[in-house]
Amino acid sequence: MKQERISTSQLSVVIAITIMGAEVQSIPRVLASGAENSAWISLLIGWGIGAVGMALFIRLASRFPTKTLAEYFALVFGRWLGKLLSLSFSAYLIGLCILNTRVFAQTIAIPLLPETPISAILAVLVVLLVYESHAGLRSIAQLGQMFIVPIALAAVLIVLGVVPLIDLGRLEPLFEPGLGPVLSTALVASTYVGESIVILMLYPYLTRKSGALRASFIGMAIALALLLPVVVAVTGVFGHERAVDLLFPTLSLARLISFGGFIEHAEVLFVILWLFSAFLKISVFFYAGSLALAQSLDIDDYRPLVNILATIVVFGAVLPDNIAVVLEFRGLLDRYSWVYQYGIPLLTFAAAVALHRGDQSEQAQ
Amino acid sequence: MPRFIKPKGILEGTTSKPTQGQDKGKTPISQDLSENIERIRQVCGPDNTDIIVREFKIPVGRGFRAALFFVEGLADRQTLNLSIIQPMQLFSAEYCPECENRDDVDSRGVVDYVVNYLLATSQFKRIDSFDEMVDLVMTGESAILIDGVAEAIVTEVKSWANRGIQEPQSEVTIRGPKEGFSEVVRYNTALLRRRIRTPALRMDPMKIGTLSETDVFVVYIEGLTNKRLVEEAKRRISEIVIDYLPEAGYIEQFIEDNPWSPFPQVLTTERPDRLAAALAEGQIGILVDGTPIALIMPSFITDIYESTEDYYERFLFGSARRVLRIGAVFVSLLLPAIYIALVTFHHEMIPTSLALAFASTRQRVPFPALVEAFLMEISLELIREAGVRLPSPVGQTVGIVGALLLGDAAVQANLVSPIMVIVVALTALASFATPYHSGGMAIRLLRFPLMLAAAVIGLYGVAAGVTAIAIHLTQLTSLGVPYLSPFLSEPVDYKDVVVRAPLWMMRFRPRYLRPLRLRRQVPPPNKGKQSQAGGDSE
Repeated sequence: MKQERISTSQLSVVIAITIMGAEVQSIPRVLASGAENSAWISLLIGWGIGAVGMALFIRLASRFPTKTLAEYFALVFGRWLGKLLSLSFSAYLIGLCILNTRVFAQTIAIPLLPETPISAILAVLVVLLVYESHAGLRSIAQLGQMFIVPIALAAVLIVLGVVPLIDLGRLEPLFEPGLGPVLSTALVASTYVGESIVILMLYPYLTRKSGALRASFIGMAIALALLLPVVVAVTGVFGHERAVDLLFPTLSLARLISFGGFIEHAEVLFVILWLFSAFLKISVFFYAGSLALAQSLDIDDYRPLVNILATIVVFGAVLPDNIAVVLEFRGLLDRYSWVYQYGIPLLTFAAAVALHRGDQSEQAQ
Repeated sequence: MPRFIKPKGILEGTTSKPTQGQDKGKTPISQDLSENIERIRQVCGPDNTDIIVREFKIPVGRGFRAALFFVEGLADRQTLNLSIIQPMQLFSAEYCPECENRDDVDSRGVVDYVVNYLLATSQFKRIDSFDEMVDLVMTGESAILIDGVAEAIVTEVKSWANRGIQEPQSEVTIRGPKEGFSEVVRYNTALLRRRIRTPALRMDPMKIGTLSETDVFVVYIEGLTNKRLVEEAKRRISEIVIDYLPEAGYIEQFIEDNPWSPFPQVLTTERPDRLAAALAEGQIGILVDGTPIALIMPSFITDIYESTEDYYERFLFGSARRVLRIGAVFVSLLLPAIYIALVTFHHEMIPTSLALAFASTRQRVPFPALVEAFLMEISLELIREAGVRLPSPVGQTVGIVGALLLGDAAVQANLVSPIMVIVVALTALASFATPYHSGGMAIRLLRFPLMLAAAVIGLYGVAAGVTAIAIHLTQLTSLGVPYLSPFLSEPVDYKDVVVRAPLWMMRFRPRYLRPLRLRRQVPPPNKGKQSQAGGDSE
């Protein structure tokens, strides 16, 4: 089968969307709960941590330029441990996919379709997901290129719409909660960047690998440029005390927008625009997860697995009774997933260096 | 009393052979003229009145019996009379410098003599295969057979009935040439050759159809168009085995990449200037005899809303109109769906005063919005379809009567709400604004599933539908080139996608077509310092 390739600029878009997803709706709350009014500082520091992590990902990936993480686990750690690790990686990606799917369905359900059962929303989503996965990586990347425009537009419009309501005084004093909470929240923020660990599954399919680091940083910068104004706006409008109580603060922000008393309840429009970004994020994880599973089971093509995995995703997403459970789980993930995100690549990298695996000899093959 | 003839039974006993067409032997032309004439009568049927064999004598040497073989209506009578029969019968008695004695011409030299001194036509061919001769005569040429010679002289005298070069009917523009392609492929190649005079313009001939033997030309510019495109197009066309090729649409449907896609993967045009412009950018054209339409491949999504006029008008207006048309595509695709979603699911998005107006007009309508919309959309498509079939003055009347009366009466009868009439009318207007008919049809068709999705799960359904269309588009290719190339190729060709940049900025051909020569303009030597004519002092 001819392997599809993606270009570096497509990688940037994929990274940006993987970081953002629908998180643009909940990030202000998550950050405000830890860093209070200094949420935006945490976001910036988080991105700094994320950049180091990203450099690590690329460094590791360039040691094995023709293989995905799921493939070189076995090279580094030996067959059985390697298989176990790549299965866990696949499970991690699919787990993220399930979580995002549930959040996605919830973001649709609350403002758009309050009376529709969540399974109906999931059914539509999963059909699209299967279709998209069969279409392959290039299609996902191209979809990202197409949808990044409305997604960016949504973020910009929302901030512009509430500019008159922003009170920058709410951001002062800086570092109000103290350095400790700000830094620990920054670690939480970095897990959003850390989710772009998915790049380790995409790296071998890049057309020009030398530009990978630059492209990933550009992707991070795009995501930051769209998230930072939203975080500032939420804190500036609601203040951190209220932002913590809002389920989707950005959505509440959108609700405030009104143009001359004619356009009201524009949040539906924004939900639609975020929907594209959330869907793309899910399909990136889904693609990478099914690829990782296929490779750890030594199957040539991931496509036969797609239908089974899609079923798992749907059932996983229906499982939680209500959004509170989902948020609890998400909070857990926010706090601890950096261990996996940075720990596993670091471990692999250290082992590869110590055991002299990969590097130039691998490139020559 | 006439008895009813049972249709059954007439064809009983005859069987169809599974093989296509008939075997073409290599029968040579006989020396004996009578035998040749006999065989022509046999092959072409003895009673075919349009197949003429005119016998005469060439008064040279011992005198040769000869016959002129042609199809009436396909060959030009004037040329036959004045340039072929007349010289042979009358002027053969004139002076011949090479022959000492004209009477010495024997059956070996007679063909040379005829060709060199008598035949007053610009083209001729000497052929010794009987079947090839018949094939050529069937395309409108004429063959001269001479007794004692196992050869035929085939001359080009094609001149068949045609409607001449007329204005394009389906691609009307205000600016730009008014010539359109016609059914005669030779005229079309001439129209094209007149625009692109470089000898590098290639028209590679192919023949498709075992019965029709239709001429098909693959047109491209040597040294500019990517070779692989040309080869791929020729490969696909050459694999078509069919008996009769009535229209270029057959070729389109046989060679398109994804037959299940609603989007046209081949651009059709009636305008030679559009084909010429496409060739100059590195696309290939396909001309088919009998079809006043040229096919252009590869085609892209931008073809749905691009018009040649965008380039003829100054760039500001060209761009503005293009942006308008892109908007029209979206309106025509999404407006009814969004309206249905809004009134069914998302009332709160509509401003309160407007929502009240909507509600009061919809109050008397007994149907859900979807039924209402389908009712109107389908009647609109009906009006459109009826308008196409009727002669043009009547067609317009039907359109006006249908739109005005039906819409008004439907509102009066509380079948639909006035707002729905506005929505449908806007949609129709928008869909008329798409310049490319097949592309517009794709949009029209996709509108209905989107409306359905909107009625089931609101805007989420519309968004899902749009995503599905987008996924489909990312996979679609035309002649192996991605359909979305203008948007997604790298570096992005932003100068000619959404807006149309000034012509002097478009120095390169589209990169995604991988032309062999990229540059199409040479910048002026004093760039940036163009002196302005006329005093620019204040």
